[in-house]
Amino acid sequence: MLFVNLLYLAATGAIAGPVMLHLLLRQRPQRQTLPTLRFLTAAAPQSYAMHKFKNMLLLFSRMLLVLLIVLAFARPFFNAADAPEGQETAGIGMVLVMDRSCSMQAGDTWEIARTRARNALKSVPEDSPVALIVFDRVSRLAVPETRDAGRVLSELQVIEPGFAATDLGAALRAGAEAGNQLNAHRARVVIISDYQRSAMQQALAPVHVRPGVDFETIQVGAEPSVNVAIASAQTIPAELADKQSVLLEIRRFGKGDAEGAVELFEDGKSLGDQPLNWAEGAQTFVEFVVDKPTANDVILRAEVHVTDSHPADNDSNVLLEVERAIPVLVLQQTGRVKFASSESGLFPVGANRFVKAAVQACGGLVDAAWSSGSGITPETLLRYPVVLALDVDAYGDDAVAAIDAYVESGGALVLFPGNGATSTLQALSGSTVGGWKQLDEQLSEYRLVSSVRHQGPLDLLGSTGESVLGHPKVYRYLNVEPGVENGAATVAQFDNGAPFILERRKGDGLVYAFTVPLEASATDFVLRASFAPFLYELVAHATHETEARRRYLVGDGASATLMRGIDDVQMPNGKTLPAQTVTSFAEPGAYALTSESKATLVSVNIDPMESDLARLNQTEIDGIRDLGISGDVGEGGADELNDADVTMPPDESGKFWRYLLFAALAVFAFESILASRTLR
Amino acid sequence: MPTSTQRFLKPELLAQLSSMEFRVRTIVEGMLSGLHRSPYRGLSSEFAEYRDYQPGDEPTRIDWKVFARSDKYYIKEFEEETNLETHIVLDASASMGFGTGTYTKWQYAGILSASLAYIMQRQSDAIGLVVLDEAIRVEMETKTTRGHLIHTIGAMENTKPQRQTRLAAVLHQVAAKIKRRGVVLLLSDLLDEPSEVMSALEHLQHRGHQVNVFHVLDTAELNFDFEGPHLFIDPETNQQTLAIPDVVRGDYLKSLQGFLDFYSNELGKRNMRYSLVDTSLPLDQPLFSFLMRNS
Repeated sequence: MLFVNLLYLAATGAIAGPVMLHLLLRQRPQRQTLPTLRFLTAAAPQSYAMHKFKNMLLLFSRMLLVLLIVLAFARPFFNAADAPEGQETAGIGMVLVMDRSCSMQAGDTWEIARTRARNALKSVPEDSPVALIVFDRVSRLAVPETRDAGRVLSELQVIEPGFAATDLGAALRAGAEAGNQLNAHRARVVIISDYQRSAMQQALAPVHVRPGVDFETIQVGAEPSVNVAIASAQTIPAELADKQSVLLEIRRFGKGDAEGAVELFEDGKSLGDQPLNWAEGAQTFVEFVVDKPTANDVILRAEVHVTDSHPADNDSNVLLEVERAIPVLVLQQTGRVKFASSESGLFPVGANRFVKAAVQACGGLVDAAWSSGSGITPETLLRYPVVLALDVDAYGDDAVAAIDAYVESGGALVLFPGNGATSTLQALSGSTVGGWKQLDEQLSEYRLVSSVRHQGPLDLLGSTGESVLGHPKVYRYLNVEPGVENGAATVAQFDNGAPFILERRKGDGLVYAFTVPLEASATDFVLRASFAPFLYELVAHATHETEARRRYLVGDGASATLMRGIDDVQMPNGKTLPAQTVTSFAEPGAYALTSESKATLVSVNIDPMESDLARLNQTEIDGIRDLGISGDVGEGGADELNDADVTMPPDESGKFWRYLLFAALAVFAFESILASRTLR
Repeated sequence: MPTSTQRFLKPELLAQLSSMEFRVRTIVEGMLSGLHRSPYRGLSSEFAEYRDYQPGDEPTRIDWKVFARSDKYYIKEFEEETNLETHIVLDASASMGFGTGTYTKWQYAGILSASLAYIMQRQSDAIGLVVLDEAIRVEMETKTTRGHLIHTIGAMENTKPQRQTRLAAVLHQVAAKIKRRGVVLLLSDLLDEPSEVMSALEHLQHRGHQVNVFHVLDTAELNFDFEGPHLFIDPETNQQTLAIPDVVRGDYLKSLQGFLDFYSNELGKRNMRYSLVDTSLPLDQPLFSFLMRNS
């Protein structure tokens, strides 16, 4: 039990009053001679016993009355939720909420924050309940509630800011929850942060707090003079086939000029640097033309050399994964392959030609290998994330079995029918393939892709409304009934509703089955300029369906898909950890995910928003203090910080003292009645 | 110890009683001329009745005036006055020593007794005294002289109530001792077994006495107007009882009333005079009330 007005308990000594009164006014039985004693009934002694009992009851009721009144004035409460508002007592606790996002590394911001945290801890009485929360993108309870402030101080000494972005809303919610649960009638939730403006990418909503919980804001660090950071990077195929461009976007934040250079490294080896030339504004681009990597998984890292206020975000601001080509195995038509001869030799025609042309048009983004299909095995196929089968019915049973196993193991298969039998396509697509539908161009009977279920790459084909790539025409297509029971579904269809593209998930893999051969006699799609980007997007889409993404920001979680089959993770600092211990990416760099059968590189970058150190103004920061609201938050919540409804409802806590007064009143009534019926 | 006969004889009271006489309702024997009628016809100045002459009657008793008028012989009968023997029986048990007012029951009874004795003696009635508790403590024969009155009152005053009550048993002894019919004035609180006391009183009445009972009780005994917790003690048995008067008063008064009603009814049935005497009342009230009823 805690008390609001502890000093009132000193009045408990007033209980001696009724006792003294009782003793002083107590009447001992008078001795009286009575010759007619015989007429007193047997009840006489009992009446005296009852009299004594009533007197004792009277005494206890008076003592209880005094006690209840004293307690009522002392205003006890049993948990923090009962504590009344606005009382100055020793029952106060603190929740420290420390910002450890990347921006806190700027200058001496973190040291200042640590000092302010220590000072805040000193402001609460010893043995008060305290807790420590650290936050960046997520909030974590670093030190649960304790009355040992030394534990919090020890943790403050150890923790350091990281590289993650800032979610101030999550910090507020975590602080409010901790404050509500703190075992003290009043709780100060002290949020120490640089209060980056970028931390409020979304407006902060009010949070529910119990009466007695207040937010305090401590802003640390100074407004940066200037900060330079690499905002983005990408690789672009260069005009020359063996070159590629690395384009870096450099942003300048804060006030002041910055001079310096940008250096590019490939697998740790410098590829040179270029000076920063600021045009008007805060943005500039730097381009490096480098040799196209011959191997996969080449790490490109850009580093800015400039004297600014936040060097931590510059050292390895963006880690580039090589925008490597997606390896694709094209199972070209055999048997009925048509070749044309030329002085340079035989060259494929028909579907092969269109695909080859499209692959060339994709530049280095699609690295195609060609195979006739003979002698292929699942292991052979698994080297490629995507297999394009231009005419599956041309392949033998072994090849088809290998293709089927490849899909089961997670491969992505893109099927195009040939001109011959379609039984293999039927089997691989899991659908029922009917006959051909031949349309007559002269009669303007052609089919357009009228609806696409998928978004993203397949949407390039167009759907209802505007089409990015126009409306391809189709003159001949297979009638296909998607085998729903086999996991097949129509993802694109013609204007008459006939399927154009089927999607089937089989095992860990994915199958896209087209109902139109890649021939000019069947469709003009292969002749359109949109075919190449479509092919690339399709391949990329198929690849992403089976492989996890490889770009992350600090703080992102390591997904189960990414870590499937991975045994070890090599961290950016060179240490190797078991994969099950890596659940999120805590620092920027390249992570090597390895196992016996595969290896994957993942690049993790600092959230570029952390480089913008612009801070909230004082009015906005003051508004954060008022976000703690008792009771229900309105439906609209707070859409904007300055518009937050921060009215505090009346204090509805601390009712226990009222119950005590009511009990005292009842005891007083009982005492009065008893006193009137008790002889003195 | 009383040293003066003036203690039980209150001059102011006697002055009030100067014109009062005590007349006995019933006919009692008397040796001397006194205030009370004798059953015997004899020399007297008060005409009683005429009767026919019987051979052997004295000729001097013939009313010759009536003969002259009627030529018949009639004898004139006259009332004969005789003296009364009054036995004052005083209860001197310890309970009679209780009192919360000016007088204890013993003192009050003593004053009443002395006053009555005075009146008797003045009427030339003989008075006797029996003081009893668990036995007859004082026994004085009946005499009419003034000196005997003084000795009698002195004996009362020299007695101190202190022993237990055996009223019924001792009354039987008194009944056996008193030979001549007379008046018995019993002054007691009657705190003995009521049925046994009644039996003793009946014994006295059977012996020809006119029994008059003064039931002397203190006002506190009658009203039980105590306040606060009390430890009540019986002066004769030393029995103690803790009680809250306000709580037990109702039951006590009910029991007491039953006790008083018993004596009132039983004595009344037997033609014995019953007077409940509250010692808080002025002394003349019970005396006047008693004498007026007997006049």
